[in-house]
Amino acid sequence: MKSFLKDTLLFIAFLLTYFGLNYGINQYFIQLSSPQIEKRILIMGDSHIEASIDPTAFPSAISVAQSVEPYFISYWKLKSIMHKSKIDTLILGFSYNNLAESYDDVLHNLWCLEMFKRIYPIAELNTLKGLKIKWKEYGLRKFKNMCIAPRPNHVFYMGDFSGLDSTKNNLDAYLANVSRHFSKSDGTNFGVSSTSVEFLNKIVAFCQTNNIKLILVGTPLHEKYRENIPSNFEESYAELINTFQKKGVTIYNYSEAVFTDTDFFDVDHLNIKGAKQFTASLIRNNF
Amino acid sequence: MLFNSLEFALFLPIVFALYWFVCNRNLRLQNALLLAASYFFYGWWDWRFLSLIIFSSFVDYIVGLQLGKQEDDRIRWRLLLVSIIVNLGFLGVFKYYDFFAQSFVDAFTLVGVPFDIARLNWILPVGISFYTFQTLSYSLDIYNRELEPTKDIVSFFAFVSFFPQLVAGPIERASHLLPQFDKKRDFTYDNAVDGLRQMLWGFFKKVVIADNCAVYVTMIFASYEDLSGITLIMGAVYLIFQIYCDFSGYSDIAIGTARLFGFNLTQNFNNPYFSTSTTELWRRWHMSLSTWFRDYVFTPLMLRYRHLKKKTAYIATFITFVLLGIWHGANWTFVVFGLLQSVALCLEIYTRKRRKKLKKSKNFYSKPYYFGSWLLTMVFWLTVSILFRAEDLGHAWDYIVHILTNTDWVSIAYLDVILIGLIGLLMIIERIQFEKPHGLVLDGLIKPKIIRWGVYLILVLSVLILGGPQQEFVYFQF
Repeated sequence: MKSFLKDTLLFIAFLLTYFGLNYGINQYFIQLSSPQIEKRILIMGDSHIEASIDPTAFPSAISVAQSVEPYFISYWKLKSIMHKSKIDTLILGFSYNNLAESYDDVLHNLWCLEMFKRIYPIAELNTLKGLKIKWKEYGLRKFKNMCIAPRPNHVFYMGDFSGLDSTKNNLDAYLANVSRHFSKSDGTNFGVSSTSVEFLNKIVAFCQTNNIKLILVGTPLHEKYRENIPSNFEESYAELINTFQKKGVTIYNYSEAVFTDTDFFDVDHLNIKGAKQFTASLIRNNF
Repeated sequence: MLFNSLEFALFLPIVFALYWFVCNRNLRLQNALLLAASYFFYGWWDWRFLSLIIFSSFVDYIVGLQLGKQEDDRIRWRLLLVSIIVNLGFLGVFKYYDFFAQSFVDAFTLVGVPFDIARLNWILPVGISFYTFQTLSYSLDIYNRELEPTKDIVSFFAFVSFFPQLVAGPIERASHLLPQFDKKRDFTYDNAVDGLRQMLWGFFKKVVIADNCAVYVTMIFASYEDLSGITLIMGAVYLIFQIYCDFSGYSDIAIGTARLFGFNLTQNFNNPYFSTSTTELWRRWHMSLSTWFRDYVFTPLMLRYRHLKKKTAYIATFITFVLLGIWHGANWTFVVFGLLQSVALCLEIYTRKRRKKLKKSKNFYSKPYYFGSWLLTMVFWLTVSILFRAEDLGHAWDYIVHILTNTDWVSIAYLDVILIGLIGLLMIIERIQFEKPHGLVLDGLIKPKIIRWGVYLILVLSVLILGGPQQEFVYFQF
């Protein structure tokens, strides 16, 4: 038994040393590869922003928006990006769905594996209070990416402008889009997420501390979508606009801007044609 | 609890430590620990179904004791019937009731007499087909006076629910496993180390090959109508390696785990994909099940119908393999799977003498004959395995028809060169290790310890790096 335990423990120790060594190397790579952005304007948010704002229309801008991105991930991303970058303006998505509790579930529902892949180098999960997290899946993802082999690239959280196909139109499935954001599986509505509001406040504070001009942008929404937004979200949205305006945050709410059906990919995302038009209008009126 | 889970990675060392360091001085305590661990292992999946195992174990324990005491053949027969009815009754209700009810409804509707029977829609308890056959073999062996009943209830209950092989075999015979619970198990370095190696080999087969094949199998079977014939053949190739590596991988992990506790389980697979006939394939595939059917179905049928002379073998083969097919699942696909196997086996019985003659001759044709036999066996296995995965007979038939009609032999989708390479490597290793109980018996092959450890490290890393998305074991559904 002694020899068996000795050999087994030795092999395990050998494995652990190997994993530990890789962890150290990858930690170094994470620091080395943290993004360094040479642009003035940073565009951030979920798929609404990802699809609607074309950074190439700005003189110096980059979009890092990614679909289904809650504010807590945007906050972690911003902190990570600001290590090596000098940004003076942050354009952040600010739509009704960004406030919904449905975004609190992304570390627990079908999106969790994709989210863990993006966030493992920047996540501060201990700062999330009361959110359900699939810890085992998170641990496995982190272990696989950090301990198995040296990987020079750990940055999976930088998105881009998506430019959705303008030949396709998915307006008929509007109820599915609305319910995805605002309805639970039992048919009742999600509430306003206190976590999202908390992290939005953190982003505001971070920008003020780092002299970054924060612009919250509500992207155009089709009337079929707007008409079905639960009233409690409209009220909270209006309240937050007031609160942030008092804090000196610039807010451009284009959710009711008039765009034709041919500008939409679906009821809450512009297609590439609509995005070009919207970006031009955003720059023309505000920059 | 799945073997390929974090829970099992914690569970196993805890039970191992308690077994060898806390309970090692008392055999009954060790058995009690194994029983508790086995119930915990099973209950992790669904504790409610533990009652079925406990009830089955209790009935067979009592029946076994009574069979041991009784001399009256009529009473012994009735006692055996109790065991058969209880065990097959549970299996029938949980696994087959809905299938037969639906088949009756379909049959009557087809002849214009529509009616309906209530369906149960119950969840199938994991491993019910395995432990039912295991506990049933105990009663049958005592009835046949081939085994003495045990009086030790803890040993018996632990034998029925022994966690390494509880949910997907190997299906152990009481005569082989039960005595191991009654004698002191000694820890030996070689046995334990080889157990770990066998587990590692099983994990490699399951996590690296089967789970990755499963991804392609799911995609190809879901969209077979749009894919070329060659891609569909590729899908069937992935499928046969998925089911082989999944199940033989599970068996290797089970056998390896049992060895850590000083138990020897039956070998369940012996390089079946090197077989040159379907008969040989079934001697090498899921051996614990095929020998169960041989001993408790085929041989009694041969004895029962021996007056039919030459026809006896055909009848016994036919019945045995149709039942073996149904054992796999409550679906007509499995019935036809068994049926086709029986047809192939009957053909092989019919041509046995001629083939034997050809095999023995060292003439020009003997080598091509071997290759041809192997190829024919594999093509047949590949074709019938489609039934294993298809949702129904129509799906299987369509898949096969699309192979033959979508004759685009160039555009091959889902060709994963790394996976094909790994499958090739597996087959080479299995060929080299043909006579060994598993692919990782390296003692005679690689002498320096450091190189052996390097091989283990590569395998551990392969499991971690190349492992496909976690899948349940295919045979859990049986």
